[in-house]
Amino acid sequence: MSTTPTNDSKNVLHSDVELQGTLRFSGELSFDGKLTGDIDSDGALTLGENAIVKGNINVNSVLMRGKVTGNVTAKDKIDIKTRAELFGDIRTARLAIEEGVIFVGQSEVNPNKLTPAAPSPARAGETGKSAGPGKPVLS
Amino acid sequence: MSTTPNVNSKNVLNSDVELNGTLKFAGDLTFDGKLDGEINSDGVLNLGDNAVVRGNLAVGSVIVRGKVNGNITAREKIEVKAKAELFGDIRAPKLVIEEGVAFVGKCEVNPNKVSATAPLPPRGAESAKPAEHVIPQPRK
Repeated sequence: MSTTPTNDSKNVLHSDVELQGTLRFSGELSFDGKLTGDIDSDGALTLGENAIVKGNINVNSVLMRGKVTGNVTAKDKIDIKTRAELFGDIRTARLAIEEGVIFVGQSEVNPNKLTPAAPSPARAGETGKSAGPGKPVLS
Repeated sequence: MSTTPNVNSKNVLNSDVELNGTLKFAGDLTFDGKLDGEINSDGVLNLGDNAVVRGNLAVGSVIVRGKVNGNITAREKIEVKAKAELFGDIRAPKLVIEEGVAFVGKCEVNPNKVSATAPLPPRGAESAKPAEHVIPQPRK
């Protein structure tokens, strides 16, 4: 019962790695290889430029380069660096995206659980005729 | 037919402005007020910290501060600054998001129309070619 994982371990997988299955870690992981499967962790994930992940990522924080096809959930933060390609949905408390990324998917970044702004409150008889904001343009 | 819009105009609407309807412009617009409606332009829109927009934006490029509840389409670039609140879908070839935003909606940022990474080919199938597009020949 005393097998507490070392929380400050620095795990490294380089671009020569190909992996199939679920990957779990508890400290840090730097991943630059190919993964078909999920990553599950309370730690910090860094994806390198060569990383290709097809699967869902569920971590505390992630710094993303490379290519990801799958959903990314981070308790703390998602950092998407330039030239990263992400096809999938993201959910996190803090999001930063650099110019030059590809991101197709749904974003749910709302740490304070805000609701959509209603700019002209108390305007009587508002019938919502103004072109239906929020109606998705994307299929 | 010679009513070329003044493309270099710098339009400013401050936080005391409330607007209901569709807003069009051709050059630059800095908007810091409240809008219930749409903004359509090929120009550059700059939303201020006090801006509250309920409606869709279709512009050349836009810097988002304040609050937007609606969809944003930009021909060039969308920049979402820290503390902005965006509820709606976005579509642009270039996107920059600063840390600290709220963004709930769909995102389509794919300038070169890259498609999702194909699943890893099985080992030894390196020579697998991507499916070729068959272009139907017009028949005479």
